[in-house]
Amino acid sequence: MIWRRRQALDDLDEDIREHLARETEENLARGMSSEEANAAARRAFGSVTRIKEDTRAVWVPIWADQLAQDVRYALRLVRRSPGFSCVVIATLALGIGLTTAVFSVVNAVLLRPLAYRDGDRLVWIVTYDDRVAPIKSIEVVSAPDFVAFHDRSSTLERAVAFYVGMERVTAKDGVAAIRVATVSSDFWDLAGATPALGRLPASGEDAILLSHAFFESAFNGDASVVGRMVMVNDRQVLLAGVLPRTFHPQLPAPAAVSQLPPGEVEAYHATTIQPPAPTDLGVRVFYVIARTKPGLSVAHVKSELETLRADVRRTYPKLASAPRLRVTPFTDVLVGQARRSLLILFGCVLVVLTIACVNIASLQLARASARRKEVAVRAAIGAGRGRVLRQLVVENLVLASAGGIAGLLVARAAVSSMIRLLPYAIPRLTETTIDSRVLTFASLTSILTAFVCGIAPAAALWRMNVQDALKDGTRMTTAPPRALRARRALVTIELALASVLVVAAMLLVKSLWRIMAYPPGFDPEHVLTLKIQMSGQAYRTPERKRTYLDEVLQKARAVPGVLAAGVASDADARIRLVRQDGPPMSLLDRPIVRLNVTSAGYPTAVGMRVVGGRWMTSHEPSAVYVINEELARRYFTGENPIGRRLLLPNGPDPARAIPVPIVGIVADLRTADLESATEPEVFLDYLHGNPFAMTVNVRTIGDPLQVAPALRAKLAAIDPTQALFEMKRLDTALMDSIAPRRMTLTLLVVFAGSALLLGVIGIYGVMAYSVAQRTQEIGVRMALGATRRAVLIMVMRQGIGMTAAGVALGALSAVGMTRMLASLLYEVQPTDGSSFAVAFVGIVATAMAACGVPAMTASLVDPVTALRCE
Amino acid sequence: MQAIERRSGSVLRVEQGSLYPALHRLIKRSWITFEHGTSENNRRAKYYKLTAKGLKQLAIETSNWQTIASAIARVLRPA
Repeated sequence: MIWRRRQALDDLDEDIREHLARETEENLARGMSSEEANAAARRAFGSVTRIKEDTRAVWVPIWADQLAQDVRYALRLVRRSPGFSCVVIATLALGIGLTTAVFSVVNAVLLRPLAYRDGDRLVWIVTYDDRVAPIKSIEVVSAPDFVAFHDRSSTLERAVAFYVGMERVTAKDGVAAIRVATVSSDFWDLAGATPALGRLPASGEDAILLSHAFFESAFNGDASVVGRMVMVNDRQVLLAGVLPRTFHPQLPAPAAVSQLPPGEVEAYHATTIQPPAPTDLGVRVFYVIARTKPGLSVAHVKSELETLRADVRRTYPKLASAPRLRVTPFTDVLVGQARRSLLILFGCVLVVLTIACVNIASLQLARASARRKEVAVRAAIGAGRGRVLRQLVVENLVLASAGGIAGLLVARAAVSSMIRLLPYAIPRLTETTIDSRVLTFASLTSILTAFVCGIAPAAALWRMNVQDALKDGTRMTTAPPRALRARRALVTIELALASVLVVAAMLLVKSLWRIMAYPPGFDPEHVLTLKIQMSGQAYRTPERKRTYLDEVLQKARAVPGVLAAGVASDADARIRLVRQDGPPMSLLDRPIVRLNVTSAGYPTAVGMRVVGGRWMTSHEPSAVYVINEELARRYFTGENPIGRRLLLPNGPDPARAIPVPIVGIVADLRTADLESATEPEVFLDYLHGNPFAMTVNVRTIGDPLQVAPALRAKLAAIDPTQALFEMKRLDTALMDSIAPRRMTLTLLVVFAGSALLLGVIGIYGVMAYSVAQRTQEIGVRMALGATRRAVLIMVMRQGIGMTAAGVALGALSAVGMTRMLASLLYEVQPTDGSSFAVAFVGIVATAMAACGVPAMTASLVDPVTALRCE
Repeated sequence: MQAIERRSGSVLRVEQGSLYPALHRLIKRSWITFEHGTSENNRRAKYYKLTAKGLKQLAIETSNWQTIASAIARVLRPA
C-alpha cells in the first residue's frame, strides 16, 4: 500500500506537467499562439494545486498531512528558540524522570506478582506473644505446630518450614560462609524450583542445591561437582543440583538465629522435620510459608490452624510456644513497611511533577504573549481556532516527547544508582527494571503533561482578539496584565507545593539526626566489627568456644593499631527475667529481656558507658549480670538494682536456675539496629554464659579498615575452618541497619531540592520578565527622581508578595499533610516547629536571592537609554 | 477525457485535472495498474490497464448502473 502510494504519487508532478505540455502542443497545432495555448491548457485542466491536493488526499488522510505539518512546524520552533526548549525539556526530564523512577520501583515492589506460582494464595504463619513488645525475629512456629499444620491441615495445600543462616560450605578454594536456607520438603514445589543441573533432593535425603551465582563463583560453574559430597558445617552433604539463574524465591529474612545481614540466599539445604517426641519443649523453631487451597479466606485458614494448635497443646504438655497465632498474606510480609513509604514517595514525586508542569505552563504563558502576533496572523489568513489550538497541542506533545525520552534516561540512571547504593533498602528493589508497564506509564505521563502544560497558554490565545493583536504596533507586544497575574498565581502555587516537600524533607532529616545522635562516648567511626559463628563438631561444647574466644580477643588486642577488643553475642537471644526476690510467676508471665553474652573489653571497645556499679572482669569467679538502664527503669523502679539477684536459666528445669547478682548498670546503646526500640537487656560474661554466634568489636586508633587485613590474617590463623564475615566499620554497619530510612530520606531530599529549584526558576522567570516589560516605566520613574533604592524595593516587594503567599499556603498544607509522614518520623512530631522554621527560612532566602537578580537589574536601569529605546 | 466528451455529445464535460484523483482512487483499489512507456510522438507516457479485479468491478458497476438507469427510465416513462 505504502509502496503503491509512493509509486503513484512520485509521478504526479511529472504526469501533470506532461499533460499540460501535450495539451499546449495540441492547442499550438490548432493554431493558437504559444501564450494562448498554454493558458487554454491550464484552463481546461483546472487548478493544478487543488488537483494535486485532491490526488494526495486519495492516499493520505487530510489530518495526517496536517499533523505532519504541525510536527514540522513545532520542530522548527524548537530549533528557533533553543533556550526556551532546553529549559522546558530539562524541566520535563526532571519531572517525568523522577516520577518514572519511583513508579518503576512501585511497579516492581507493589504491582508485579510474586516470583511464586499462585503468589496470592501464600500466607505467612507465626505464633507470637501479645504480652510483650513485638519482636519480629522471634515470631516463629515450633516444630510440633508445624508438623500438625503440614500433616493435618485441610486448608493448606503446601506448608514450608525454613530458616536462613550463615553456614560453612567447603568450596574449591577453602571454606566459604554463605547464606543457606534450610527448607522443608514442600519448598521445591511451592517455589517452583526446577534445577538447571542435577535433581531435586529425594524425600528424607540430606542434600543441598546451589544458587547459580554461588555455583559460578565458588565452583567456577564446574558441572562435575553435581552429585558429589560437599562439607556443610563439617557434615558430608550431597550436592544434588544447581538452581537456574532465574531462581530468586523471595524469602523474607527477619533476623534469624544470628542477625543476618540481608542478601541473596546462596544455597538451599533440604531438611526433614520429624514429628517431635511428646516431651518436646518447642526449642526447634521455623519460619513458615504456606499455600492455601483456592478460595479460602485468611480468617478461615487461621481458625482451622487454631483448632490444630489446641490439639497440639494437649499432645505436647511441655511445649512452651507463644500463645497467639497470626496468618498474614505473604505479600504484606514481604513488602511490609515499604508499601507506606513508597506510596508517600510516589505522592511526593507527583508533587514535583506538578511543579514542573506549572513551571512550564508559566513559561508557555510568557511565550504566548510574545506569540500573539504570529497566532493572530495565522488566524487572519484563515486558520480556524481549532486548527491553531491543535497546532499548540502538537507543539506541546513534541516538547513532551523529548522530555519523556530524556526522562526515561533520568529514570534509568536514578533506578540503577538506587540499586547500587542501597540494594536492600526496599524488599524486591533489585527486581526493578524499566518494563513495558513503566514505558506505558512514562508515555502516558508525557502526554498528560503536554495537555496540562498547554491548557493555560491555549486559553490565553483562545481569548485573544485577532484585530487588537494585529493593530498592536509595538515591536514587543506587551502581555495583557491578566497573563502576568496568572503567572504570579502559578508561581505562588509552585512555592506552596515546594514548601510542603521541603518541610517533609526537613522532618526526615531531623529524624535521621535524632537517630544518629549517639550517646556520649559511643564512637562507631573507630570500631571495626566482624562476625564469627563457631559452628561445627569441634565447637559443640561451651568450653571449646570459650577457648576460641579467649584466643580471638588476645590475638585481636595484639594487632598494631588496636586499642581494645570485645565480643558480644549478635543473636536475638531472649530470656525470661525472674527476680530471685520477686513474687512467684508462671513461666509465660515472666517478662522477656535480651541476653547479651559479652566480654570484659566490650564497653571500652564500642564506647558504652557504665553508669552505675561496675562492668564484668575477665576473671569473675562466678557469673555476674550487668543490666542496661532500660531494664533498671522498667523492673527496678525506685530501687537500686545493684546487688539484687536475677535467675539465670540453667537447662529446661526452672528449679535449677542459678541466682546471679547484678553488679552494674550501663547506658542504653543500640549497636545493631539504630531504629529498634531500646529493649531491657542483661549482659553476661562469656565465661559463664553459653556463647554462640558472636560479633567481635575492635577499637582502633585510626581508620578501622586499615587494621582489617592484619586482623583478618591473625584471626584466620586461629582456625582456618572458621569463617570470619561481615567485616566492616561499625558506623557502616549502623548505616546499613537504617537503609530503608536513608533511601526514603535521600529520595525525599532530592524531590524537595528539585521542587525548590523549579520554584526558584519559576519566580526568577516571572520577575525577570516583568522587569524587562517595565524597563520604560522604571526609566520614567527614575527620570522623575526615583532613587535606585526605591526601584529595588519596589521590585523586591513584588517578589516578597509572591513568596509570602506561597509559603503561607505551603505552611497550611504542610500542617495537614505531614501527619501522613508520622510512621517515618523518629522522635520528631509531624508539626515540629524548628523543622518548619528551617524549611521556610530556606525557601524564603532562596526565593529572595532569585528575585534579587532582576531587582538589581531594574535598579541599574539607565533612564536615558530606557526612555530612548522604543 | 476527450472520448467521454465526444461520446456524450459534449453533455459530460469534465475538468481535465480531475482525471488524476480519479485515477489514483482506482490505483488505490487495485482496479487498474499502470506502466511507463513512450507515446507515438516519443513522449514519456503512462499506460493504465484494467486489472482482473478491475474488470470484475467494472462488470458489477455496469450492471448496477444499468439496473438503476433502467429503473429510473421506467419511472420517468410517461405512463
